[in-house]
Order: sequence, then C-alpha cells, then structure tokens
Amino acid sequence: MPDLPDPVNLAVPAFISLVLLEMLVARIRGRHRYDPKDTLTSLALGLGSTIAGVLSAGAVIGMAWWFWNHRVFDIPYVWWAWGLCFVLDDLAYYAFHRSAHRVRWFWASHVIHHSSQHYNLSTALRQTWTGFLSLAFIFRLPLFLIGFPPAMVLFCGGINLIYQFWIHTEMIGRMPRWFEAVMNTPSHHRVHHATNPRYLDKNYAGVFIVWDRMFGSFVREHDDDRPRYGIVKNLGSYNVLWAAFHEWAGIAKDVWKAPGIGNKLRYIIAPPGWSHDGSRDSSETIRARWHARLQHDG
Amino acid sequence: MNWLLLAGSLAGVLGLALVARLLGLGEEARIVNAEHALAVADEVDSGFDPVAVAVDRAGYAALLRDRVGQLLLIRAHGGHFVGRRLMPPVEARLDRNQLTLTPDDPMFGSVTLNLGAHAAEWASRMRNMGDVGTMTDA
Repeated sequence: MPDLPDPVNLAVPAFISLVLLEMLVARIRGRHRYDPKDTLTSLALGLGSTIAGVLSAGAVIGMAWWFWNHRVFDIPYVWWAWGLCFVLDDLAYYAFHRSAHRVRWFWASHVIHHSSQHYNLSTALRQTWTGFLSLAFIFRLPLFLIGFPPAMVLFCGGINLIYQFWIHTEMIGRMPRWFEAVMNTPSHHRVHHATNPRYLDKNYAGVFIVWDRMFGSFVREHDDDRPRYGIVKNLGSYNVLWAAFHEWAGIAKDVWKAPGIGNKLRYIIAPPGWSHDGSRDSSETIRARWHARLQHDG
Repeated sequence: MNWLLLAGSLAGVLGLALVARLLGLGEEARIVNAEHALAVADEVDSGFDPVAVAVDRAGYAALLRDRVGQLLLIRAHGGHFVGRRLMPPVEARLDRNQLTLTPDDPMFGSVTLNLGAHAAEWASRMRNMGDVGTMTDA
C-alpha cells in the first residue's frame, strides 16, 4: 500500500501565493473584489475547518476502514482504479453537494462556504467547522464499500478540493468551449455561488460539470445577469463564530418553536427556507416569483 | 496536531488580511438615491414590494415600506448591502433627524438613519400603525 501524502497540505503554499496574486490584480483591476474584514473571516474559517478536520479525522478514517473491510471488490492501486476512483469520488461529491443545498441539516454545515458576499480565492478557503456533525462524510462511504482503498479515495478527494480552489475567482471569464462543456470552471461556479433567482441552487459540480448537465441542475452564466454572491439572507456580520454556527442556531430555534413533530422534523431535513406557515422564501419561491415577473414584464 | 504548522497557518491568515488592508482593498457601498435603494431592496428581498423609501443622508442605509406597512431596512456591509424586514414590534429611537432601528437579529446590529425632517414622519407612521414596541424620543 503506497504511503500517500495529503495533497491539500502540499497545496497550501500555492493557495497563499495565488491569493496574494489575486489581491495584487484586484489592486489594479477592482479593489471592490476584496474586503480585508471579509478575507480575514474567510481565512479564519478555513483555519478552523482544518483544525476541525484534524479532530474528526480519526473517526472518519475509522469508518472508512470499517466499510472497506466489508468491501465487495478488491481494487488494486493501478492506473484504471485511480481514474475510476477520481470520477466516482466526484460523483459522490456531486451527491453530497446537492444534498448540502437541499437538506437543511447538511446546509447548516455548508452555508459557511456561501456566506461571503465576495467571490475570490479567499472564499475558496472559507470552509465549514461542522462537517463531521452534519455527517457529510457518509457520501463517500459507498466508495469504500465498493472496494476503493481509503487512502486512494482520500487522495482523490484532496485533488478534487485542490481543483476547486482556482474556480473561486472573477478574474477569469470563460474557458474554451470544450473545457466549459466538461469541467467545472470559474464561470460555472460563479453561478453556483450566486443568489440571483436564475442561479439559485444550480451547478453543484466539483470537478466535472457533466453531472449537472446529466441531472438537470446546470445553468450557464448570463452576461446580462451578473452574479450577486452570498446567501438569500446575508449575514451582515464578519463574526467568525456567527458565520460558523448561525444556521445551526436557526435550526434549533425553529425546531423549538415548530408545532408538531412533523414540522419539527421538516425544519431539519426540508430544503433551506421551508417553513410550516409558508412565511419564508425558498429557492423555489424566489425563482417562481422571478418567472412570474418576467412573464408580466415580458 | 503540529503546533508549529498551526502557528504558521495563523500567521498566514493574519498576514494575508493585513496585505489586503495595506493594498487598500475593499470599498464602502453607499445608496445613491431612492431609485438605487429600490434596486438594492429588490436584490436583498425580492418578495418585498415597496411603495415608499427613505434614504439616509450619508447613503449608509435606507428604510422602505410596502402597501401593508411592512418595513425593510437595508444597510451597507462593506462593499455590499444587507437587509432585514422589521417585524413588529419594532424597536426604534427618534433623535431629531435620526431614526435608530434595531431588527430582531442581534448580529445585524442597530442602524441609525439620518432622514432629516422625514425621520419624524416615519417614526410617526410606524407608531400609528402599531409597529413600534419601544419608541424613545430623545
């Protein structure tokens, strides 16, 4: 079994260098692209995420090994296994990511990443502290059960994360058409981070945008509808702890107040924005209102 | 845990934020006029249909009202805007030309709008509609 490094750790110097480079470009091309307070919040969340990951690594790896010890196939460390593992891991990421936007329990962990109203490389590092609490790791467990060695899966996952770093920028417009057709790109991911009604809950891809095209969640970026970033109800605060836990606090408050067990459960697992009395906006209601307005105006 | 790595990472985080500040990055958003406030309100809360708007003289914030008297408060947050609907009872304080509103979201914070002579009008309307829970006149 090969001794594989953690690719994300190795990429950290590159992350820092590219953030610095983007800041320098922003100094020339648009100072509004960064906000020092927002950058500090994003990076602090990223650091906290790394710490949280270290603290929960033992449990996650233990589970990975348990599932792998009950594997269906014996998959060796050969070239085709690496390729297949990477693709299937990306599919698992798509499944996780789509759930992270459509199930409030998973959203409570993922919302941190979307809570900046800026879109730059520091946003890429704005990561969750509560990934283990939300059980996000369960989407990878089938890969271990199939027979992919845990070290292989985790390495592929690391490469997947590294790929997603560079797409968090407005400095790159569109890639060549063939690339945009297959891969996740800055353009596709700007759509994903946007709260414009057209773009809400779209483009869940990690590396390959083909999953969104296959499963009906793809929307292209429109030049006449520039992305506005953040979440539907933006925080209005740079507080790191509030950014990390605000949605968990929201779930607790809603569950406490909700009438009936059914509603209490729905406040945990229904899509973000669901309410028992219809008083809140979900991505569906926002988009429906937008469509109605287009038809009225059109 | 590698404490040296942790300390280095923390230094990196603070260092990058410092570089952003030294480069003069960031801007302060401001609401230019009522039309701008309406556009911002639509982005912040697309379900809110305002019929009246009051913009802070410095452009830092705006207060909007819809047909049924619901209020939407928007303010600058760095280079962007955020907003909250003010659910009754609204906590408000009128001090001559300044109206300070406190949404039911402690992390959003209180917002003071310099509305000139209109501050008293808005405060009066809010009071008449029973929106105000706590209104103090300085």
